[in-house]
Amino acid sequence: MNNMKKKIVIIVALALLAIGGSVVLYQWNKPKTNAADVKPTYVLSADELAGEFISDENVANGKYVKDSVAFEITGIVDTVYTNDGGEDILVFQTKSEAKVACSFNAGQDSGNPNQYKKGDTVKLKGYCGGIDMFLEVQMRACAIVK
Amino acid sequence: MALLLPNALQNKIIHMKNLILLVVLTVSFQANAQKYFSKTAHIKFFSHTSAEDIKADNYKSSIVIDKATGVVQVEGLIKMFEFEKALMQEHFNENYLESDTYPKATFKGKGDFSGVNFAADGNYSVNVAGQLTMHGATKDVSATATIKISGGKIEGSTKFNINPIDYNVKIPDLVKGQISDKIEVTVKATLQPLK
Repeated sequence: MNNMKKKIVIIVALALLAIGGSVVLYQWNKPKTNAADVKPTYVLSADELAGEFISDENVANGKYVKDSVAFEITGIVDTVYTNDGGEDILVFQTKSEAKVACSFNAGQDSGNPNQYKKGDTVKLKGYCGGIDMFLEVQMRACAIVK
Repeated sequence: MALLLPNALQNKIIHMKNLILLVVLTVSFQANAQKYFSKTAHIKFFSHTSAEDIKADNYKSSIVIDKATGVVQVEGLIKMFEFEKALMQEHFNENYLESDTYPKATFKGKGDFSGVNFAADGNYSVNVAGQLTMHGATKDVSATATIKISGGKIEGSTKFNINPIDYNVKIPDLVKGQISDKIEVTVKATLQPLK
């Protein structure tokens, strides 16, 4: 009987170890994802987002620069290019002096931003990284909304 | 001689002269541009330990070099650094650099660029020293920057080491063996004259 109990304990322990191990392994190898399937916290125009950073950068940072806050942004395209890291960048023009530069993860299906040109209206999802010294609000892990 | 020419022709000549002057001024102004910049500078963090190599890249960084004053400014948004693994990127942002609270890394320093002729091919080394601010801490850093001008393309780069402890970055004991106390920082940019 005692032997039986021992066997059960060992089997249960092994099972737990296997589950724990696979959770760790899954977390470790978790793929990088874009914002395509995320429910946006804020739905804004590029004008509105840029305007908030221009009027008070610290307030906008505190409100928008968070991994838990996702956006759906609509704007008018200024330029689209690919940077040295192979990331596509779609830049929205705005009514203020700021622009909104949206980057797409390299090697991921994010809706082909290269199809757009200056003047097109585009809707996309992404996360905000803040505003840089050239007054470009940077968005990351973006995905075109069809 | 101008006096001998009819009025209309004289006016034309004056007009031409102005145009030439304008062209000459514009060209010389461009050749003497004092500021050089990039919006797509590459900042790389690299940590090497016997356990593993970890790399983070930000290809969306900003740099401005003012040749006249020697002032160099570099800025990278922390959340725009990309890691190979999603989990590493999460830890970097949430636990180590706390990017919700400290969204930027900035360097402001000075170097002597007076000997650099940005308008002709050449290679230069310039010592740059200043302050790096990251994760709410500011430290002095200095490094040798290389400027390479070839066929009109201006490439700047530098490399130096930082210690996470200097920037109050706490690394848990559990992963101490995986993250080096000497993080190699590389900055690379193709610079353009700022008009």
